[in-house]
Amino acid sequence: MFKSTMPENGRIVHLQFDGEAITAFDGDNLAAALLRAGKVQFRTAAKNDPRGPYCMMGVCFECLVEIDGRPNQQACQMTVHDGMIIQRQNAPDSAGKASG
Amino acid sequence: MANQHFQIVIIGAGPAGMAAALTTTKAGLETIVIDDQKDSGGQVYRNLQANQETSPAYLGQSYYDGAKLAQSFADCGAVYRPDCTVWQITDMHEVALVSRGKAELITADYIIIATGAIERPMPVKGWTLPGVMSVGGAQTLLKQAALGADNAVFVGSGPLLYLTAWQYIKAGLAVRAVIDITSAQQWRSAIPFAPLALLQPDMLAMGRKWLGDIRRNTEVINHVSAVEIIGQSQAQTVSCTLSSGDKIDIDSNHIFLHQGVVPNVNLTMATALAHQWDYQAHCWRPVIDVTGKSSDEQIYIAGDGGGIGGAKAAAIAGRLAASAIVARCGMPRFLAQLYYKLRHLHYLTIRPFLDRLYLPPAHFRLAQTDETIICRCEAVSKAAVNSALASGASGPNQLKAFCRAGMGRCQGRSCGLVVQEMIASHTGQSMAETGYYRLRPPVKPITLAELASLEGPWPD
Repeated sequence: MFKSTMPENGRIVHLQFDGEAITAFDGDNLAAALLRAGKVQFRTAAKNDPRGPYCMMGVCFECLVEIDGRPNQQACQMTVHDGMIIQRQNAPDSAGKASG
Repeated sequence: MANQHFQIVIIGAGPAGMAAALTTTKAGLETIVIDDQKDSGGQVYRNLQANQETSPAYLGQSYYDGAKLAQSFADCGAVYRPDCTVWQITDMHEVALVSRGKAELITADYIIIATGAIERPMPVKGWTLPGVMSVGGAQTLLKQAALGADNAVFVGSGPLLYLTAWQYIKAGLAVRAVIDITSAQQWRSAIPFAPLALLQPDMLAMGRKWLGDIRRNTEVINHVSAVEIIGQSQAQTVSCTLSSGDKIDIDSNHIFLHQGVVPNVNLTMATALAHQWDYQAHCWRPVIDVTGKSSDEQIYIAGDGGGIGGAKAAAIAGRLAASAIVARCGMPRFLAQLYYKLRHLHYLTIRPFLDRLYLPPAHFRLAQTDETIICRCEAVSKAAVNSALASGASGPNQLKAFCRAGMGRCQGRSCGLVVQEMIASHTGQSMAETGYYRLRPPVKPITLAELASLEGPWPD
């Protein structure tokens, strides 16, 4: 489980991950906030393969989640905001859904 | 918005991009720096300005060495555009990007591509399980969010792995083990180049310090012939086989893999610039001259994206490319260019040693078991790639059509080198002959809505 290596401070914001309430700090990177909350599986790939953040720099697309109804968002490239609603993105990939 | 024009468009705000901007702005050239991160620094100096407020010592001096460059960049007068995805460079030197859901075109007289490196894929069985991350990813969490995990296992080799394990130890985290895949064979091939590497005594001393501290603080496992990660919905155990045949199982939910970095060639290849296979570093690199000029006269490539040299070499490469462009704009910089050329060469003296020492052995570059996922995006296993090869897929592009490897969102970044080498070892052709996936824009996925937001005027 990931933990903070420095004293935590900052304004608390509230998120929802698959319906579960989670707190994070304002300005947090989304993937980091979810990992700190103990969430390691962010989606499933083809063949129901469980996946979570891998590269943390926008290269691997393993951390894709649905954010406030928009699918295919790279959690490692996003900053949290209060009230953010995140859903795990499960295969088959939601390519058919409109986004944007 | 009508098309914007800048004399210089720099893509990427790591050390190369930032340093290039210092030189072009000082010469009075209108410069824009487009970055896909939220803040300048690239991956190596990621989140540096925020971290300076609390200055956690565990990040180490080499990280804080970037502070002066980042500050000079912030003050240099270049237009800085964070959080932008560049998805194409057209043959008219328009840089196409998406920012906040909206597409834009920026035209340029000169373009400097400074998009850095990515980690070489390390396809071991179980590497797709949640809890397994690249070492670069683990380090990013430490820099970006001050997050680390106790009981982690680091697997692989290379400076970034040792640095990150060292940072973990200094942060007070319990590192369970370092499984080091460097072999005696690699030492033998690297040693003749050690005298040349002595021209970089600071870097060698830093590496020795990391390795020494790691040995004193955690278990280091050597002579490793195979690694696999076991778990159902997340990583539970890393199992390694030693060359003696013995097996060691270590329970851990956090396994960090790394076997070196390679130039991130997705944008340069999609721009149809010439590339060559680098037999020493075992990767593709764009064909560039000593100043970084690519096969397109208006496009320069600086930093690790043009060949791995590390952060300090990257900053000098940025200066060098920028001063070559400044000279072409009618302001010769003979002495500056000579100085940057020599310094750049000096930084690169350690590479022949490091490239050989940390070239992962073939059995780690290629997957060892049939079930191992090669293409993460499409969940294509080694067995599936092999069966495509047996059915006659003759190259990387045909293989895509046979088994979908390389067709996912990452556009081959996680599997391209592995697939290429599997094909090469099947056909007996060289890596250069085998070639790579044909990469095309958009180099990152964008939505049709984003594309449709692009405003004219349109060329005929």
